[in-house]
Parts: sequence; structure tokens; C-alpha cells
Amino acid sequence: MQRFVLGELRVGDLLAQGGEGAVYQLPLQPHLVFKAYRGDNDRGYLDDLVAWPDLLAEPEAEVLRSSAAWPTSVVTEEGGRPVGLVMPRAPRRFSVRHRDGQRRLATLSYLTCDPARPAKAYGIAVPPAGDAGRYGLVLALARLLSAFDSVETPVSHGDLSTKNVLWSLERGPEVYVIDCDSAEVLPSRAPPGCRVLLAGGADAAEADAAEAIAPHPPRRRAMTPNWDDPAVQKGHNPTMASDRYSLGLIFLRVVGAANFPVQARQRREGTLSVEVPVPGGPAAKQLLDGRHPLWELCARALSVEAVGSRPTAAEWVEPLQEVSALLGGAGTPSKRSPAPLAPLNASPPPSRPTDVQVIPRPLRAPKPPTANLSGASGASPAMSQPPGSGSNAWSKASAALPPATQGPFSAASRPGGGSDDRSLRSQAKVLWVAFWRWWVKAHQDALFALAAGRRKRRAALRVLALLALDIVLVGVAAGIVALVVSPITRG
Amino acid sequence: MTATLKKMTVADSPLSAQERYSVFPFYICMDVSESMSGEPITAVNKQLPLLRTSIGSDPAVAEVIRVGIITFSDTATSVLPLSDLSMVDAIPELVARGRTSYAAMFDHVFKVIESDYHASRSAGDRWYRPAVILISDGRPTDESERWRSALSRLTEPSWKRRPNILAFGFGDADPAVLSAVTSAKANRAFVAAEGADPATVIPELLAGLVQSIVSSSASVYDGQALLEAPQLASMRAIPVDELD
Repeated sequence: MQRFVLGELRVGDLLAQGGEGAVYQLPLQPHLVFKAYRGDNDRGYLDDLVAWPDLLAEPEAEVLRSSAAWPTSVVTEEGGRPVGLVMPRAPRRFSVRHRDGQRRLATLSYLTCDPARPAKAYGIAVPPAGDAGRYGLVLALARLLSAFDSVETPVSHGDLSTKNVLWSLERGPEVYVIDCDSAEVLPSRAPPGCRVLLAGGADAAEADAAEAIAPHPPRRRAMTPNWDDPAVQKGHNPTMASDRYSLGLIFLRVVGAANFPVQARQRREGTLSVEVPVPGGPAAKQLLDGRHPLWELCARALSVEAVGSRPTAAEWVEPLQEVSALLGGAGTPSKRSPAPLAPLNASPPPSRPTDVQVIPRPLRAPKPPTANLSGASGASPAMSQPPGSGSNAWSKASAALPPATQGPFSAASRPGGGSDDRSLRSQAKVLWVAFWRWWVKAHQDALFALAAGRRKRRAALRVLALLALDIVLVGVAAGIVALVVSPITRG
Repeated sequence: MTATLKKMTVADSPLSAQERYSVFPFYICMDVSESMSGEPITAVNKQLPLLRTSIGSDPAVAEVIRVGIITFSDTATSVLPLSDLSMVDAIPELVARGRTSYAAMFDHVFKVIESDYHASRSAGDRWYRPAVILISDGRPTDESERWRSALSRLTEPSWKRRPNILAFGFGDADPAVLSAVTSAKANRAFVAAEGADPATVIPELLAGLVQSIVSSSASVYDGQALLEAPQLASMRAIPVDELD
């Protein structure tokens, strides 16, 4: 068991403070942080949490290391009582740089709104709704969550919210899930027959099982407002099924580039029907079919009525991979997907839920920006939808966009028609620049060779050849000038 | 199943990407009368940019919070129209001069709320009941009758958009006046201890205010907006109802 004694740890500056404790830098291990808990609660569960990754097989273990800040060691007092954790710090690429130069964590909130908003507010470019990069990010999250669910004692994160799921497109679509110490190691689902029941996640059954089997008293784990599971009653802890709800919700919001307020609707009306914008492009025809597996997965994930048939993360991997590939996405760094557990495939495919409907709708053409209604409404800027396109320029695009540019959306999706003239001119310019660079370099090299004095004959020949070329060029230039000038002088 | 689906589509229009959370408007009414000149106004100008860096820089907070800044002395002016702070480039610098007309301020707030509400509605935003944060270091210099009638129009129960008011006083502010301003049920007034230095009170108050606006944003996402009072002694969060 990896354990540190508090006195032996060199603790640096305070990074953040929350209700549960404080997070400090570790000057000797800059890639790690130390989270110190407040209060005298029994934190025996921390050892289980730190030891849990040992259960994972290889592709899943690597997925966990690269996309989750899973705690690596327990920090104890002299007497052995756990007081905190050491965990990895989010790599720098999971942050965005605002126009003011400050870096801030790349939370999901930058993605769950009209892309015009972060561009205008912070000078940060994010891909348009339905972009391959957005599908790629959900795919990366699905891979991590299926690693969580790949062993007999799975874990549930319990709060996959905007602040806890960070994203990056720098090296292709990647996510980094933080706040993993709030996760819970669920009771073993062996014997195999139990799996269906647990995966079914009937709240009461799971809670009972947890009490019966878990060696530690259950602790209070709350979900973030706007990212919570409406099937969990206030004051109750999230379940494995809540992570499945979160995956569906994150898919809807990230791919749809909007903060769909679904939970209020679900609590109020019991049913939900959502429209997801689908931009034109290579995958549009398939995605606009309401029976596409992704819409069906999303509807099942968001169901409150049939919590038990919410899809596992593994079920999402293949359809997301397919769409991502269709859209020309670069895919995520790890190509191998964890295999879904065997018993799952044995059961018949669950039917569509009756309380949730997810409807794809073609993304409307961008409206020209309209003027603000009055001075007072300077608050709400006119937001035009960015032109929809399956551009994959995004997967590698840097997140920083200089202020006041229109962003590469238009460059990536400018239609061919009407711009022939411009493109010819720009091609000519490119050729001219290339020629000029070659000309300068050739002359420099030749003169250096002559001056260096080795292989004199060859160098001299080179200079002579270039001289001849220059004479020809001057001749051509003079001819062109003469052609232009002669009619004028004659006239 | 088809029957259920059909019933669903009839019962409620589908949720689209355009549907947003209701927004929570805050109007900060800053007393900039002559008595605020010098250290107090310097402290205000140093602290106000915090609004932008703390509220505006967090997309999740900025999305549901709108802030307007109104200054008042002889007259009242909107120095920052009700804004999404992530879209604001800079908070304007305030200058202190003149007397303290509460009447001008209450009249201005009434007009601004009315026009902002209609502008927001036509832009598709729903509102929680607006909050007015009154910060003053003095007593009203206009006639008592005049400002009281302006106040009663602002707090008239039959006016659907009447704001909740939190009043903060320091310096020469009169506790009796502030409690008259906030006599309606949900409102609260806070007065700094006598003789407290404005240069220390102001930063604490504005930092607390920013913190309370940030916590209020979480409650908006929770579906029941709460006007979280700053974390000063003996304060309680006030439930705020949603406007039609």
C-alpha cells in the first residue's frame, strides 16, 4: 500500500480550498498535489480507492493513468490515521488561456454553449456543434468510464460535472477527470448472476447491497447542480447508473454545443424530448436518421423511468468511434477500446425508453448577426450559429484564438464557388514566395561555395549557371516592361 | 409506446439548443456623493474589477448572472448597463461628486428594471426576480417625502418586477433609513460598526458580494434561485421567486 506520513511530505503553496479540504502544491513533485481533509471523519475508504487501479488490466490501466487524476497515495498522521491524499495534477494542456493571458482549467462549460460565446468573451476558439472533435471528447470519456466499469468491483465517480471533466484537443480529443477522491468503489458484483441486478442500478437494491457489503459507512456524495441525475432523490448518493446518466448528458451538451436544461424538464414533467442540432457534412445523412444508435443510447442514458437500462459506457465506444471516423476525426491517442463485459452481450438489446426522446435536427444556416435591441440589452450579444461543417481542422487546432478575429470556422468551411479569382491569386503568391526564397538561397550557397575555395571548378560553374539564369530573367522582365511601355510611348 | 411518444410531443415542445437557464439580474447601486471621494472611491475602483475577473471569467457563472452598475449622487446613471460580465471589457472608473439623492436613484432603478426586463424577454431570456444591492455612506439629501414616494413605487407589491433589496451602509449611513429602504419582507439591511474605516469595509463588502453572486449562480442551476447574502455576521439566504 502506498502511504506517506504527513511529516515526511514537503507541502508547498495552497492551490484551492473547498468544503471538504484544501489542495496544496508539492514543490518536490510538481506533477502531483496534496489534498488535506478537514475534520475527523473516518477515511478508511481512501486505501481502497488508492489500491483500486491495481485491479485493472492493461489497456484500461493506461486509460485511467492518462485520463483521470486517480489518487496515488494516502497521507497519514504519525499514528496511521488517514488525513489526505496525493494525486496527479491536471496536465497543462487541459487548460485554456483567456485573452488576459491567464490560464484556467478547461471545464466543459466552454463547450456547452454557442461557440461564438467563448470566442467573443475570452478569445478562445472551440469547434462548432457536431464537430468530429466533440464526438472524440465524448469517446475519450466513454473509454475512461468503461475502464471504471471493467472489473468486478467497479467504481462510480458520482459527479461528472463541468468542473470535474476537463478537455483538450491539443493532441487529439482527450479528457481528464478530476475530483476522483469522491468516487466510490462499489461492492463486488460476483457471483456473476448479480451483475444484471447491480448494473440495473435499482436505487434501493444497490444501496442495500452497499450497506451489506461495503466495509466502510457510506459517506455523503453530492452531485453538482445542472450536472445531477434527476433519478437520485435529494439527499441520496449517486449510483453507478448516475455516471451513465452523466455520460448521456455530456454527450448531448458537448455534441450539441448547448447547456440543455434537461433536469428541470424531467423533474417537472417526467418526460423529455430534446432536439440535437446536426450540421451538414459527411455523416449528416446517417445522423439525421432518428434511429441512429447514438440517439438511442442518449435517450436510454437520460431515462429516469428505466434507470436499469441506461447503457454502459462500453456500449457508447463503437458508435462514437464510427461517427468520429466518418467525420474525419483523428480519434483519441489510445486506439484500443476496453472490451465490454461478456454477460452484457448475452442479454437482448434493451428497448427505447418511453420517457425520453432524442431527435436530430439539421443545424440551421447561420443567421447574420443582428443589432442589439437596445443599449440596455448589451448584455445578450446577438449570437449567430457558426456554419456547420465536418471540419477536422479542429482536432489539432490550438485553443487560443487572437481576439477579434472571425475564427477559422469560416476558413475551414468556405464554399469553393465565388472565390476562384482569390484562390488563383493566392496560389500565384505562394509560388512567387517559394521561388524568391529558392533564388536567394541558391545565390547565397553558390557564393559561399566559391568563397570556401574547395571544389573551385564546380562552384564557379554553379555561379555561372545562376548568372545565366539571372540574365534570362532580366531579359524576360525587360521584355514584359517593353510590352507594357511601348504602346504608351508610341501613343 | 407510440401513444406515449405522441402524447409527449403534444404536451411539451421539444427542448432545443436555444433553450437557456433563466438569468439572475443584479443591480449594484453605488453611492458616489462627495463624501465618497478620496480613499472610499479609490477602494471601490480597486475592487469593482473583481466582478469581471471572478464572475465574468467563469463561463458557468457568467451564463446565468447579469450585472448592472448604477451610480447616484445628484442624479443616477447606469455606468454599466445590465451585462453578461464575460462580454464586458472593463468596469468603468467611478468619480465621486455631488449630494445623495435616493429619489433619483430609486426612480432610475425602476425605469431601468422595466426596460431591461422587456429587452431581455424579447431576446429570449427569462428572469429571476432582480436583486438591488444598495451601497451608501450617507443619508439621503433629498426630502424624506420625495425619496419615500420613489421607494414605494419601486417596492409596490402590485409591480410584478419589484426587486429584492439588500442595503449596505457605512460612514454616515443612517440605519433607520436603510431599514426603511428594506422594510419589505424579503429585504435586508446591513450597517457597518460605527467609526469603521470605509477603506477596510469596502473591500470586505465587495469581495463578499462577489462571493455571494457566485453562490447564487449555483442555486440558479439548482432550479431555485437563492439570493445569497454576503458572508458577514448573522445573515441568511433569501429565497427568490421566478417572474412570469
